[in-house]
Amino acid sequence: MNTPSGHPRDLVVTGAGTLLWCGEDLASLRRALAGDPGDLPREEVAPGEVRGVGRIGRLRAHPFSRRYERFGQIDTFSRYAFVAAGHALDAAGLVPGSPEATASAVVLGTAFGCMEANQLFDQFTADPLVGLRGASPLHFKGTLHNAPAGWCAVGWQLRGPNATFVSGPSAGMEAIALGCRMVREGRAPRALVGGVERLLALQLLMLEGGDGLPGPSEGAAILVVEDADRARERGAPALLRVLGTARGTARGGVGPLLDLLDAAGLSPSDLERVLPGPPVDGTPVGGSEAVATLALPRHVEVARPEARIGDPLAAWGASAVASLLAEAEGPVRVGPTAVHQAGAAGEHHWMLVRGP
Amino acid sequence: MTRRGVVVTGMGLIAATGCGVEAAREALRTGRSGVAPMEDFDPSLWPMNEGAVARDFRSDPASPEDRSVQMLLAAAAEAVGDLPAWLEAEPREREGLGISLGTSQGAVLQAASLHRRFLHPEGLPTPEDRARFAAYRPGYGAERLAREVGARGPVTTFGMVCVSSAMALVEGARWIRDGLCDRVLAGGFEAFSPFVFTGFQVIGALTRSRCRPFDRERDGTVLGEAAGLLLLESEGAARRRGAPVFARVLGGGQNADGVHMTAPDRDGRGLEAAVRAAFDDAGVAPGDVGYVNAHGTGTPFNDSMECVVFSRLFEGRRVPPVSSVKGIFGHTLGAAGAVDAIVTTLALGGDPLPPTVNHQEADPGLDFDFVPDPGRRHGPLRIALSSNAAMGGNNTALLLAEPG
Repeated sequence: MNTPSGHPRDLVVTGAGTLLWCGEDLASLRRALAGDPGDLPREEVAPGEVRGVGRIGRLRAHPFSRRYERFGQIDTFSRYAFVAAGHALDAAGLVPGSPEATASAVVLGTAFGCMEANQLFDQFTADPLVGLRGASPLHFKGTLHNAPAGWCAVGWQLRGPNATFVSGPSAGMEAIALGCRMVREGRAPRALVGGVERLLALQLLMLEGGDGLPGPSEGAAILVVEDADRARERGAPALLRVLGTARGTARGGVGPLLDLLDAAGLSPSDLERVLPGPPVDGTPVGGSEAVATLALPRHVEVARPEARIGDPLAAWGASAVASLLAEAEGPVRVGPTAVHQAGAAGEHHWMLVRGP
Repeated sequence: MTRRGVVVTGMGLIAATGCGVEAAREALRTGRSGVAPMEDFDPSLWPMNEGAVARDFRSDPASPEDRSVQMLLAAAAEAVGDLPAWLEAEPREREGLGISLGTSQGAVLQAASLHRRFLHPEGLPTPEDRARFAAYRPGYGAERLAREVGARGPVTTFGMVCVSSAMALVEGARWIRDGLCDRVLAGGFEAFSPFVFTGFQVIGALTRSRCRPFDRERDGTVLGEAAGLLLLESEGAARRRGAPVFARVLGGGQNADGVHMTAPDRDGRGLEAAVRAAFDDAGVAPGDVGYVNAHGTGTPFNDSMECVVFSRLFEGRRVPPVSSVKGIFGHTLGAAGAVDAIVTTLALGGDPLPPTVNHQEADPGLDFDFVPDPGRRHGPLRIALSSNAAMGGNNTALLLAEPG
């Protein structure tokens, strides 16, 4: 079943923040898209086993850390989202603690969640005597899949609705869709939406890439999606318009996109650009194959930013939108652009945006 | 967009009370608790050694599925009833079945074994490792369930600790209400694990005696395991197949505290905002609520916070009966919201109010009715509120109504 959700309220993107292996601002993303620094670094994930992976690391002593250190230890997975959210708020001109910022929703998605903290804490679980002596409550609070969204709410004082999807690589696109719906329905004036991933050696060993497929990368990408009227009232420039989000399986996965285009009064020939998501295990049709069935006119550009930034799993959708902003260095001057992500359950998730 | 009525037409539950909703119904009627000493834990090593384990559910150790997923599939079989057979005969209806689940840790036992084996990887994964990794992501349970019941609609999983399944219910009902699909199998699942047991021990959240929600002597919660599912349908879809209606879903809400990662906001502003959002969503007023199924973990802070919120919500009028079933089912984390929705649905159908077992005396100055007596009959109950709160500062509220 197709599930289009056109947006009666005009929605706009007013900010984006990224923390990817190539850096933590849109300028670094722009450079990565242009080929600098190039291929994903190689990492020995097990003796003799080398993988290309976009790794960030533990992110110690970050300038934003003053925002959360007063609350105690914060896990690396959450730090990624926290930093990306800080940049997104800054880009959107939202001051933490201000009434405008405080009412914001936070909706994030993650494929693997807090597994690093789980693996760490599980060492204490194996032996109860060690566990009770050695396990730390500070570590345990990192064993929550909703820790990144929770830390964003606590550290940046974002006290609107808050949710975390753990549905797999498409969780980030689901987060974008729910955040858009919350704003559209007036449940929040704006929402920070996107995805976050932190990868373990275990996951890298299991995620076998094929020829031509991007290697996995970790990080976070977060957009500020806002009611266009509210953005205008506070003088925040619209960087992109959100025409809608949709999900479904119809017509090989492109049915939801066709419905979205139709709801926006557009046809496939109006599309200027498509950003198909990386393939996902268990999905019969990958993003490129789905897009191919559209029989798009020749002028449509199919961009593949993941070739440069890696496959950030649930952070893909917001990363793809951020790549548009990074290229434009300001308001995006593109026509209708479709962002895609395949889901592990066989669904296809779409977001349709265009320049303001 | 058309707003459609949403009804509960099926329920399934695997919990410490037994396998099936009927076993839970009997435990609620008599106040029988599923909490018992843990058989697999050396009592001399643990300050607190009790849990609400689904002992009647024998998971198959030879199965490739985690115990939590086996519980999920069993609960789903009860919840869907004859729906799969009906869908078989009505192929056009298959597209409209979605899955909306919540879990705190997902396949936690399989994940733990992989984490130990690959803490310091020494070689490539074996085929057995890869088979276990297929179920490793927290979203796997929903994908597996979708295959099991042939769901072709949207499939999702929320990972929001103790509100996970409540959030899954709220959003699953929205899918139907907004016309995105006709039916949603919604709820949550959670298996008891040494991992979480250790964690709750070290954060000091477990009772040293008994879980006694809202009691002035309360000192902590007790962990449990469960898989709870509700089959939600649009009123039209339920009519088409002649399904029984157990309750109506009026609406829901959620909101963050944004104050602390593991402790609730003492003022309960996040929970209050979630409940008020649910009232707005459902178009009902606090005075319409005849019963509150509270989160009621039995921890000092949570229960105090909830009482502060209920005092404000029902200011100027008598607070309706408030109860918590954590003393019966234990705190089932990602399944807690679904367990609460099931017991609330039973009460709306005419069963006695779910009792707060082990509750004896409330905090000074609180004159709430915490329903300490099992089996209490009640008058007409039209609308009930089920609220939950979680680490990470998440809060949810779900409003259910009598079948009508």
